[in-house]
Amino acid sequence: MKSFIANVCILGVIGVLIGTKVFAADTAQISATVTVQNISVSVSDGSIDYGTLAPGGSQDTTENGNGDSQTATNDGNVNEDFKIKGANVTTGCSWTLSTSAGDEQYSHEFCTTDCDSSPTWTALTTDYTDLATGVTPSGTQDFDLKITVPTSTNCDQQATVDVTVQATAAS
Amino acid sequence: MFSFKKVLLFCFIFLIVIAWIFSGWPRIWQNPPFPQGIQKAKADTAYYYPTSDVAANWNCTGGGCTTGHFEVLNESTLDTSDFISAKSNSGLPNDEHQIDTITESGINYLRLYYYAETGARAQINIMLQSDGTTQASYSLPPNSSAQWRYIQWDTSSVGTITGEFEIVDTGTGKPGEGIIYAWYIEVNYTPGVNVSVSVSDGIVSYGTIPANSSKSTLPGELNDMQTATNDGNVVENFNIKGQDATGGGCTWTLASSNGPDQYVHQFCNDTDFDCSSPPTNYTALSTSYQSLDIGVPVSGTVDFQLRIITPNPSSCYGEQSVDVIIQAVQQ
Repeated sequence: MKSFIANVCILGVIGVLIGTKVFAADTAQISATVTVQNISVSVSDGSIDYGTLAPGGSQDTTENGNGDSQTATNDGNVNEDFKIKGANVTTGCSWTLSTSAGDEQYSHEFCTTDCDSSPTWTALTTDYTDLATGVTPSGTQDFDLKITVPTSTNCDQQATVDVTVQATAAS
Repeated sequence: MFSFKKVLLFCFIFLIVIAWIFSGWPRIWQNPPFPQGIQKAKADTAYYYPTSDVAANWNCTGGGCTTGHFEVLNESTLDTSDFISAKSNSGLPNDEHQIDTITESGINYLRLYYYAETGARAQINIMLQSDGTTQASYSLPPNSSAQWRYIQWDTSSVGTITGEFEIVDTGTGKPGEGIIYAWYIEVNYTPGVNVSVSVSDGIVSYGTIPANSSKSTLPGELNDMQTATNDGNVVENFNIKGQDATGGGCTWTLASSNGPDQYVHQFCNDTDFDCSSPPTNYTALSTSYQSLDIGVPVSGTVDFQLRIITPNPSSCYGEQSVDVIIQAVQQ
């Protein structure tokens, strides 16, 4: 039995050696590409100092104001829609963002066209609203902001009134 | 010392193993196939007809004479209304025509087939020449009837092939004519094994898609199914592999599940399976070959779909090259 198994093994190896051959082969290539979507936005300069305002007073970023217009840029690789929103003030002061100024209530508005000559101001809310649509990669959207501080307030500290710009893939 | 019984046993087992190897059955490994079995080499033939005149000295009868003797003699379907001829006592020099360059390899032999007849006193010497040297010849004697005949040159390599015809006056009886109606060269050759594959259209542009999302070549998405074709002359097995993605500013590793800078590329054999509901019947590509299909006949095709799942997240946003390679091996 041992010699039988040995014979089978030996001849099997011989068979493998005899049966082994170099196979001809050819290849063809599929050229495939993919790009991952990048949604990105930046705002320049991204910083506004409205200064000190009297109760119920206003200031804006137009040429007639402090001249600090903002520019949102599509830093992604697809067309984007820009949205914008404001915020209630909770640090230092406690102001509610509203469509008009009042007691502990301020308004923050934005403008995208003819802002230096005949601006159309749209009040910010704490929800996103359209700033621009279909902005191409590297495309920009200029906009101005206008603040009206509360007509009366208990706060005499610097209030932070941040604005957020959001980018989404253009629909 | 070996006993007779042991030697007999050894021989028996040896024969069994050899028979298994050369029969190719049962096959214990499909790709590459083992045992391979005996591969058949089949001879084939190609035909070449006269395409130009080297020397047009004989008389020409028929519609093609103005364009050269080769025009008259280039007849895949015999027409005896046009021919070249020479009187036995005319003393006309030889008539000679050339064929196009023979492109086949593995040549076994060449035959010059000719359809000719001779009258009294007229002998035609038929010569098959390569680069001006006669390699085969025959003297068709006077009073030979019109029929197809051939001369053969056993060779494996050829040069510029010509057919040359000489009229010889044997000087017996009333002068007659030697007439040639048509001639051609038959090339007998054994084709070599040709393993070849192509992919149509061979381009997949997934475009710009979000991270951690998928896209396929299915009709509802890219509608860009790929087709691999056996362009060889033997039955082939098709294999497929992917690659790590580069070119867009970072490297994505090809894997079976996606992750940070790690992507998935899948394939589905749409010829043999239902690929319409991924990931069912889809297999993740790797950087090593996997079987796409086996036993693809000559000119046979395999349709397949591809599907990509992007990394989550990607550290770069440039266009990445996610090429796929199809390999064909002889079955």
